[in-house]
Amino acid sequence: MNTTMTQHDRISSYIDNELTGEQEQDFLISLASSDTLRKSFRSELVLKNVIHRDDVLTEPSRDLRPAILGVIGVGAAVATAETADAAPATAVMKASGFKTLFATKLNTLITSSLIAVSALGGYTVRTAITPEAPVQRIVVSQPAQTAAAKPLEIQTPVEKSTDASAALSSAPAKSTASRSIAKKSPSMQSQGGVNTPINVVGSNTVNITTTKKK
Amino acid sequence: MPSGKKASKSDEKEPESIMDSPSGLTSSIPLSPDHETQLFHNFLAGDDAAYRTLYDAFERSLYIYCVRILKNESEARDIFQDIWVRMYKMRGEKIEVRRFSGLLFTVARNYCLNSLRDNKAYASISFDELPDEAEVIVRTKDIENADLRELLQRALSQLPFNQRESFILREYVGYSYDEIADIMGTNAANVRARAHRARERLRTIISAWLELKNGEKEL
Repeated sequence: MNTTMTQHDRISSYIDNELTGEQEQDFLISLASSDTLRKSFRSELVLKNVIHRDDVLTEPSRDLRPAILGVIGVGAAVATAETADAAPATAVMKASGFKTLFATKLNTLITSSLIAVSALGGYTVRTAITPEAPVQRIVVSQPAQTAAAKPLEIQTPVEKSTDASAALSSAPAKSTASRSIAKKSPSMQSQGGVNTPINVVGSNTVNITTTKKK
Repeated sequence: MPSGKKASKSDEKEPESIMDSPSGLTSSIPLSPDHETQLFHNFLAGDDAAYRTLYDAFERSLYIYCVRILKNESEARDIFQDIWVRMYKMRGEKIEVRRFSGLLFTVARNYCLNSLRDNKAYASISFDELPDEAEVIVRTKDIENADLRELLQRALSQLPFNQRESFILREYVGYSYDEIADIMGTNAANVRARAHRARERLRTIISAWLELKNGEKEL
């Protein structure tokens, strides 16, 4: 009897997570070797299961909440309105767990089915169309740039431009560089003392003449 | 809601058949201890919305407590209502509580005990003595065909009051032993011992029932 009592206590302690690591190991070893202990443990699991079922099935009725809040006089109207959602909240929570799980599984299934169908459809269409369809090639031809023929254009900030945002976003960097080139080394634009017209967009056109040092 | 309850190990072993945690099942709207106490103070200061929130949070657990303690659902409903009315009458008073739920279940305990006394059931209330009825229950002919849940209820109703209450607060409501000790006005070791004894008793009954069922299958 004493042994049984000890076993009961051990099971309860194990269930309550009150055993130390060593005790737990001992308990599990005993559980593996003892039929009696296994039976008791099984009973414990069944007991837990029954409690769970009992707990789920014991529900306060829906009319209880509005009735009680009505008697007290705490916002009966509000209470009535809320009843549908709030009173059976737990039942909804429990049911919603399964529903959510089911819905998630179902959604996954539907989504994957749709993907599979659309992929299959796409493949079929592609297979049907591909033989007849001529292969189109787009050839982009770049015009040959003749730097010598073209006058050098330097973009400067367009003060006159009405598109302020365009001016703010793109113009300054380019213009700064251009300005620095224009100011610091005019010889770079004018090769060998040749007069090169520099078109400054957005401002007046100026001609810069440089002379080659002898 | 109860915070001290931890997921039992049996859950880890066989999660498909066992509840996740007792506390998770009984709380409609889980509230932290601080939150529930804050709501209670708000209610005392005149906030009816706070009262409704507290009601929603504890409706189910309190209802189960009343039903399982009183063993009679219609009576439990009346007591349940009385408890909430009593709680509402505290409005405007200056009450300092550590946890609202502790106060709620202490009030509920007193109401349930009064009800048992009024119904002459008090004479048969045994608080700690254990009537040796387990064998009687499982040997009763009709139990052989009884639903296990019904069997549990009957077995539970035959437990001494203190064991029954400890077990209900632990397994159904999901409180820790310390929290139950606060409600019952005793220490945690006592509560643990009571809950263990109750569990042992119920387990014995279930073992007998399972053996009966297995015997039937073999026949």
